Amino acid sequence: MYSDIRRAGADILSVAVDLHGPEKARPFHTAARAEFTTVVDESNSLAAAFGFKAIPNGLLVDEQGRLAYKHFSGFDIRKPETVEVLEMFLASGAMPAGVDGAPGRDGLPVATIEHFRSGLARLKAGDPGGAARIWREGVALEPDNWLMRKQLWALENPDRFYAGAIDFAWQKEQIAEGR
Amino acid sequence: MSKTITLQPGQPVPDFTLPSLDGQDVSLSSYRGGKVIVFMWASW
Repeated sequence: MYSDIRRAGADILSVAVDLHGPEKARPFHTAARAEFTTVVDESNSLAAAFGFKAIPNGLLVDEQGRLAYKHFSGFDIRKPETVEVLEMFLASGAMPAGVDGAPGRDGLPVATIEHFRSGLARLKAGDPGGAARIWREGVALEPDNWLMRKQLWALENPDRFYAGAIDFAWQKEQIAEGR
Repeated sequence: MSKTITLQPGQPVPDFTLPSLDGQDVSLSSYRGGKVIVFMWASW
């Protein structure tokens, strides 16, 4: 897959959105035997720049740095419809007008960005309780902000996230119970 | 309605610079001249 992309004169830039730094992201990069570059966004700065509130996301950027396609939330390179879009992009770069893999999944309210930032500042200042309180307020204001909600979960339940594996069954339970 | 941030196809993608796993600063603009697939994910 990656060699096909390189042959078409394109490249992959992988962005790990992880507030806990590169050491949390590195095992995933290594396990995937990734040959492309992975950068780490520890302060969640791209969510504010691009307006997304959930991941995984894919952005296809043309030679001039313009957006050809975006898919916010649920981007999966193994899905046939995503493969089709990628092939179109690599072959010609010409995409249908207004192509958006998941319309309506962007539009991040500026107010929530401030919530996320001030919670993060509390966390970095060694006050996880303060961070949790601010993020809980943010999630109440905007229940579909999964970036903030999952960071809150991770803060309150580290054993579900960083004990060697991510407990997705537990995450589904949280959603079912409306947490 | 409160202010929101959105990114539309055809618009210039805002540049960013972030540290790689090797500790080097990498910018989206350094890929200019070629197509790039930006994939954002998390370990959580």
